[in-house]
Amino acid sequence: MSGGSLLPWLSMVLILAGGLFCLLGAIGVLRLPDCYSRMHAASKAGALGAVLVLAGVAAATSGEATMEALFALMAVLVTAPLAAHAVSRAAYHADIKPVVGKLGNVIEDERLEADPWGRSGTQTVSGGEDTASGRVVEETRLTAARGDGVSIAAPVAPPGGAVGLPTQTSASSSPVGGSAEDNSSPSAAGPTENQRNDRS
Amino acid sequence: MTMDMVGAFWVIPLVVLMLGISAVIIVVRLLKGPTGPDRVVAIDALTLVGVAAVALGAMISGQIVFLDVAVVLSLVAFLGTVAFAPLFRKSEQNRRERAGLDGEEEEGRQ
Repeated sequence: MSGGSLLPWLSMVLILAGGLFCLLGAIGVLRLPDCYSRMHAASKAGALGAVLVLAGVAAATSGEATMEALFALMAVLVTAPLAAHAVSRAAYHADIKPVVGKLGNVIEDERLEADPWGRSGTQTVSGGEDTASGRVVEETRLTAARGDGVSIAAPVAPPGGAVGLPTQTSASSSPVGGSAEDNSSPSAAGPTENQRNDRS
Repeated sequence: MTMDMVGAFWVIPLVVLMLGISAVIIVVRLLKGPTGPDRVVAIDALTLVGVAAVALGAMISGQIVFLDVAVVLSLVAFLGTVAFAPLFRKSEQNRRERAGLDGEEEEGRQ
């Protein structure tokens, strides 16, 4: 061994810490409120626990087994965050709402700012309107407050409607949800046209 | 494979006990999880605990071959978790279409 008498102590500390982190990750998976924070616990604390145990095995052994344990460590370290990201992304696209605090859901807020009419999640809006979309939102809010009746509820569309998911049926209760769902329907083009007429 | 580790006679049983408790807790979440992603996350965490347990088993038994098992287990866990993603996306879509999509509008946005 190259490390003298240091490596056995290091291996003991690493394996103990690995077991402790595995236990913490498991408690987090059991007790956290929604599936995103559970994924946080599983993919960070759990992966760190497995990695620490593998590092402890690599420190305790010598020769070929050390290389093997380091290779397993690399495999865990590369694949665990990818898997967690894929699952959380798919969960968000399956419209599972996260439990949010006072600050709200920042993904919905950003999507609504960049895309107030719910155009299928893409950032490109034809006609150069996307650069002034924040201004459009503000003007529409002012219009709604003034009582012109152009589109009262348009900028405060429901979050499920603003996502523009294909999971929505067209039998939504408000016309805003229908306009957020379908881009080519005349109800989707209606508030925008009124907005352009207002500004010109 | 030689193993030098300080206090291996008490560290290894303690860590095996910790991993067993973690596995039991994660199985509770796996059986309880209300949605599909909860169960998938529980399976992912369970395979990570399994990787750690297999590495400990390689150390206890002195067989280097078990470390190959750890590598392959982590890779298969990655593939399995990623393969679950489009599955529950589709099932969630079916469930929402059957439920008729109401109860979305009650969370008002400022």
